[in-house]
Amino acid sequence: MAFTRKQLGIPYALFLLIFVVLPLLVVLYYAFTNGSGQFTFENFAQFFTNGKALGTLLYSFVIALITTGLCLLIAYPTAYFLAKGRIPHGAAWLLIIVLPMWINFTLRLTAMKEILSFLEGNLAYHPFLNTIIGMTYDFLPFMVLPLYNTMEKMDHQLIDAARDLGASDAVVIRRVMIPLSMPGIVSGVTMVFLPAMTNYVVLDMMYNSTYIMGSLIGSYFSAYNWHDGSMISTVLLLLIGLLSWISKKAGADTEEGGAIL
Amino acid sequence: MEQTNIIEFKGIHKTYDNSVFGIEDFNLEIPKGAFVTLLGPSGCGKTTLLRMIGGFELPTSGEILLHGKNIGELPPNKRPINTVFQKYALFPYMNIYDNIAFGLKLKKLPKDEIDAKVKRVLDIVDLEGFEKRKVSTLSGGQQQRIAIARAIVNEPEILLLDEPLGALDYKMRREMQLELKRMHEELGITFIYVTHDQEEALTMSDLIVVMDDGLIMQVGSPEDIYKRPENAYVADFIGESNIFTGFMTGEHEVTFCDTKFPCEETNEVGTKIDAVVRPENIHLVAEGAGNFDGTILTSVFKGTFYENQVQYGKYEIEARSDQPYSTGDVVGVAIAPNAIHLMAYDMTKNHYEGVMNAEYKVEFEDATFEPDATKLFAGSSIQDGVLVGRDKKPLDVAGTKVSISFESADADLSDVPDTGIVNGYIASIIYKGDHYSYTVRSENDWDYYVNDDDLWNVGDYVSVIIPTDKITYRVVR
Repeated sequence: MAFTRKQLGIPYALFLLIFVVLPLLVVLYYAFTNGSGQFTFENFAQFFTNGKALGTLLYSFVIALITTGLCLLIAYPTAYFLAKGRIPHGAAWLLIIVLPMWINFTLRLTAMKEILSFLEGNLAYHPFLNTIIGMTYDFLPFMVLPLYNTMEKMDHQLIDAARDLGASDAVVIRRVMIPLSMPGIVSGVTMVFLPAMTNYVVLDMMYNSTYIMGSLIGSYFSAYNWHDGSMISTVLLLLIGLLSWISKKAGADTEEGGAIL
Repeated sequence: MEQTNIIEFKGIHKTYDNSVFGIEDFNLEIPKGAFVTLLGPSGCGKTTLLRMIGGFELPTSGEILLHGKNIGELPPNKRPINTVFQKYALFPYMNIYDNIAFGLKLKKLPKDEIDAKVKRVLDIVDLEGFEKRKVSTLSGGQQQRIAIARAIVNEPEILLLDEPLGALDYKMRREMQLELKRMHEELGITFIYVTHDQEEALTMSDLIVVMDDGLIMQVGSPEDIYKRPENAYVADFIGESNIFTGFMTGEHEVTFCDTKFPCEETNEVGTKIDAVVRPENIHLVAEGAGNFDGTILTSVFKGTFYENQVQYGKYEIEARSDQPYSTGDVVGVAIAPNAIHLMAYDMTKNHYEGVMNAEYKVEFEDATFEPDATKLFAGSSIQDGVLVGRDKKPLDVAGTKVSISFESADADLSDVPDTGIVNGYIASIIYKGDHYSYTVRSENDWDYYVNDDDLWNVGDYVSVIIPTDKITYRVVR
């Protein structure tokens, strides 16, 4: 029996409708209504006048930025050496890096906690540092994989060509390798930065008292304040939408596409 | 023409850890301003040599001299040399202008000077006004021109070209060959070109270096290489050719295909030779009017000529003709004295190739040799009659090809059959002043060159004796 493409799309469309579109509508409804169900912009105004909410937004942004930067710094050379086969058993090393992704991440963080408390004595001494370590550890594979994919396909002749034309190693990295691996950088950053903005499990487990966006929303919801919680979600959603649009544009500017994971 | 050398290879060796391929003792001088082609099949080491000049690979030992100075350790960006890569290697995220200006910008030239230079090279490669185009909108031929423009805009002393026309179609390739030759004349810089295409090499080069297996087979002008190949490998690799093995049977007289031919070139009487005759120099004439008569096997139309296979006894001859023949036609085969090129055999050495069996003996069609297997395989030893490696595990060496060689001076002749390693009839004799150089032909048609003080006669049945310690064995990789 042959299905048309439309027919094959029905299950996914249903899934999308029930689990993505409907909840979004509900969130939007609560965000722009007050306790008695009337339409209002009050929640919106309150978010931007609430110092704590804005502070948390900034804090989340900084954590996500540092995590992404660290992941990129660690993953870029790692992916390069793995992809270019400078080390024996490259595939096995890649597996070791990817392997943690298959283990439940709360489990991994618990293990990380043990190691950190052993090293630091008490986790509460360095909550910010612990958060960054935990986040970087958690998201690193998501940065390595897309970078590895683009670098594996990178034409080594272009690097030779640049050196042939007089480029030093630094110029080769800046003018050839980074532009060529841009698709991988963009998808890696997208896959690390956006989830890092809202990931509050790591903070919780690392005893970081300061709220991150995700936990702020959670705290409103657990206090049955659906309206303010929904408003924060909406703002966050808009922010994420904006960021993905920017990264998509950056990706489109690099001619040799591909490897967006 | 100026005779200074711009590049000299001195005793270059290159070996790889995990590959059998390598270059051994490579020596070559490249004259300034010449169009030099390194020609050979893939894997012969030509691209490796080119990459060594470019600085992308370092020789294991030996020196590469640029204007007499060793540049072995100089990185590519410090060499006055630019490369046109096999697959163009244009930066896909830059437009044509930025690609060509890449090297100039690194040199920090003023913008108007860069603009002028880019415009000029685009003019040279016939792509005026392409500055703002994207790489992906260009055809293969255009991309190749841009790659050339990007290299020559830096005004290098040497331009390296690594099979740059390989990806183009036949017609485009022909066009670009002439274009490159024109550019070479216009720019006056040294071109070093790598290709496996003999037609390309013949069309463009001033000097061709024919290579095989990391070794130079011949260096010469296209005419030299085509008309006067030095060995059977070159004769076979360049163009179509008939190669017949024969002997000098007189001053300016050679015998091959059981027929005596007068020839312009000559060699010592009795010398074993390979005679090279190009198919276009073999004329098919009326029956009885040529050097011998043969029978047409096939006749195929090739556009400007017919290609014929002619059978004569056990020999097959390839000849071209203007008219078609039918299979079975009897024709005269005529070869003019100036159409025969003679290549002497090296009769001072004997080379054969055998296969190792399970008893560690080397089987060759005529005889079985017994080398010391532990010397053939580094680190091996014999334990309880089994060959083992360093790790004491048995080595499976059956089927390994082994070359067998010995000097003609070390071999002796005996008239008692089976005293030596092989028996045969004496096929030719050359008197060398204090000894005779014999060619002994075995039943299986293998020739053995033996120097002996005693006088034998052609046709004598003899046995060839080789002292076992004088035989050199080597594993063929």
